[in-house]
Amino acid sequence: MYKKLFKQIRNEWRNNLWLGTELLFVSVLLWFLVDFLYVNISVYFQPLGFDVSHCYNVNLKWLAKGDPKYIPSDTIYQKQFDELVDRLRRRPDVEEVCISIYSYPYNPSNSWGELCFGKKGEIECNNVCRRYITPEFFKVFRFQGAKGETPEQLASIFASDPNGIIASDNCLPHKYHRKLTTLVGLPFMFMVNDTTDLHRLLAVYVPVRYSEFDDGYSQRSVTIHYDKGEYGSDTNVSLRVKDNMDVDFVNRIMKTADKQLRVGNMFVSSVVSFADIRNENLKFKRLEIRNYSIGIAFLLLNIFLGLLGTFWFRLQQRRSEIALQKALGSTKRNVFLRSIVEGLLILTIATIPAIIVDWNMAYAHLNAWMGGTTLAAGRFIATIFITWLLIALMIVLGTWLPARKAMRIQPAEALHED
Amino acid sequence: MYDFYFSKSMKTNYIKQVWRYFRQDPVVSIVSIIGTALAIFLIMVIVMLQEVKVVPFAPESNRDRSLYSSALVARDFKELGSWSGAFGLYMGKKLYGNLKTPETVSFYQAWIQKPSTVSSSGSVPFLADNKGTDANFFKVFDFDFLSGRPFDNSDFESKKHVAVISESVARRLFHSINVVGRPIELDHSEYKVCAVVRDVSTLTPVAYAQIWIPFSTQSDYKVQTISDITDIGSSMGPYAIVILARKTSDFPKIREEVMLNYKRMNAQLKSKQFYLDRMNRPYTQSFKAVQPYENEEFSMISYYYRQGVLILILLLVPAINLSSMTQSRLRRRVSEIGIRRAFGCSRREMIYNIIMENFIFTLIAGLIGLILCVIFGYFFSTTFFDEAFTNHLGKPAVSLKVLLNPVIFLFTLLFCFILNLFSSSIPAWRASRTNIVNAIGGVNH
Repeated sequence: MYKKLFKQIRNEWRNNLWLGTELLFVSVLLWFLVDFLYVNISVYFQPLGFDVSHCYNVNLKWLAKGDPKYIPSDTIYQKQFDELVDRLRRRPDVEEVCISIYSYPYNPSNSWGELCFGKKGEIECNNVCRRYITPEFFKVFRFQGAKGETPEQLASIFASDPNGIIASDNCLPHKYHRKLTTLVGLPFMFMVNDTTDLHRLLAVYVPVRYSEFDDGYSQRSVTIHYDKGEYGSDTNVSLRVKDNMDVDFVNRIMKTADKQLRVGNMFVSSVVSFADIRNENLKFKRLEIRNYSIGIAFLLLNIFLGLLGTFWFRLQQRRSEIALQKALGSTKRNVFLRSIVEGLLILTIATIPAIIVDWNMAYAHLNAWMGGTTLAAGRFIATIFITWLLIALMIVLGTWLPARKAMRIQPAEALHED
Repeated sequence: MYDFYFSKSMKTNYIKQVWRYFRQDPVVSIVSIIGTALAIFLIMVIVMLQEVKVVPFAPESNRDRSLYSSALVARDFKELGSWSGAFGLYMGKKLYGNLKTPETVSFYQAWIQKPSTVSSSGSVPFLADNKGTDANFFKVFDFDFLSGRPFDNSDFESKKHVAVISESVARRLFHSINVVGRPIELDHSEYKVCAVVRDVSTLTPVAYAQIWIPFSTQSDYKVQTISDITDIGSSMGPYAIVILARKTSDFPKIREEVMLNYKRMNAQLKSKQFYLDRMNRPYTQSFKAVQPYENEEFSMISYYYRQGVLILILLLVPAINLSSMTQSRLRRRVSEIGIRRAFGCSRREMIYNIIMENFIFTLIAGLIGLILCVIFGYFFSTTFFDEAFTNHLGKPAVSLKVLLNPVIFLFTLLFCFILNLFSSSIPAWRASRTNIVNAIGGVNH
């Protein structure tokens, strides 16, 4: 029976060409969207490198000059911040407090710059995310040392040298691929030709991604001491609450904010949990994923509708033929399966040119990047297969209704009509 | 059953034909309608999201004659890369404060990064989005004042602690909107209410806030002089500029004035080793609505190109489906077509008739799609207009007047027309080529 199916498909080639073209077109589009989702889902599950559970940001504001409560003599940021951090640390529910700028995880602002190493003539530089922090930062956000150092150890190593830096393991991928640990103790520069401003690499930490949707492959960062003289209104105070005491923290701390956390003209305007900060930062990607998913649903629904319509007509036109088959002993189930296999066969034939188009798109870097490439064997095979599977599912669903109707054809009636 | 189309009223015949289609093949007709409605729905979502950012939308009622500059981009002579941020007061005034052509120029706080704590005696403190502006702000935007008047220039210069508050904030604080003169505490500072306005939607981002105060009363207000500008960092600050022109044709003149200001400032900055990159600012509303990054070049043409490709795909995919279904439907009418051709109906007329019949069909489905889109946008506006990089406490409310502006209908009509053209041209052409004798003789069955 299935041999004859091939013959039938060939005979009806005009109709099947139309269907095949549609499947080809949609398959290519669908692959593009599926590939995007595949990349994002894969990247999401890579290790993050930091931990923001039980962490909060303390948002600060200052009274204005004209305000009746303004204290004219209290203008030194450094003193205000040090005092505030002290008071926060003394709270029984707070584990650790740190000061940073443009550096807390999921920050909407950031600073990127060059990190260079090497002797003249063989210097390697790379663009890395610069984090300006105090040593406690490691303890608040739990960075891990590449040689197994705990956050506490990293913090004390960092504190030992106010001019030193700690960088992520993958900062110099070309020459020192994942072996930055061999360069500990050696001097680094922030500009290719600036050999006077040297910073000693004090330790190395396990790479930290900016967020769940940033591919670890390209995430390089370096932590630099935040100069106290630079403290200002953009400076951030972040803290970690003890694991077992993180219950209704925002309300509890805001109740005491007026009395205990006012330092001169500086006051706490709000305390935000990192769960909220994270949500805010990931919103862009979430919306993008939502839009791509709508696109996939649109394409699949169109396939479904298209097949429903096409096979409805097709099976109606083949009534006499189906009736004959049934009269000659073909079971209901066979009739049903035949329609579905016909659809799947056309899909598989259409998938071959689709694969060629998809490969070319990936080669031309038209799709998403992951691991430094747009075309990787495992990912390509997986996405092609998932695309085929999704459309196959739509074919089965789309031919189900017409096929069921075809199953019920009474041979005598159908042949009589003709 | 042969209907003869010799009557004068072609329109009713088209509608009769559409009804016949439906009764003959209900399943296929429903499938076609769903497919078309879905495609038009998605396309109109894309169009609506764009339109909402561009059409006049109170209080941004003057969008078509406004220009915006919300970022200052500076480049170091030595280092590669750029710095971008909002304007410091000195830079803002020097670059935009002396323009002669516009009707009004207003300075305002560019970002509401942290909400303020608001309270009044007897109420529980809550957070609200607070924006610092100058007095001209209320001349550029069309706020709906429910009571009181906004602060004026003398209030601004004398740093008077007055605040314009939104209706929701007023009701939450005082359970009333007649609260002019009542004191409120904003971030531990006392202000007096000078006006109450109707709530502003977050879809008008420049005008949006829940409380507006003179930015001269804010803690980071500092009158600068040229000696304060020592490096790139000191030219940046928290302010942005909006320019209201008298008429759109004034735009080139305004741009020239701004260009001259940048030139003069860059000449002064040569000694500090950096320069300001105007990057074609100030921007029109439509450019500002789609531009993603402050300090990167952006081309409107490539944006429209990408949108065009997206809409094309959204039209082509259902068109292929509809095409094959139209083809199958036309096969049924082979004898009827044969008779019409025998009676002298030309091929061209045939094609035209078939396309027009299908157009009515497409139009009906398209209207369903549009209605669904409007319902979704109005009742689910928070999800519909959800955007990243906005952490505002207000809502993206939208009025039916904005959603149903005439442009939306024109676009729906246009896309229905294009979709119909794509999906019924080939079947119509093939049907018109039916051999008359074979058609009537029934060979094609």
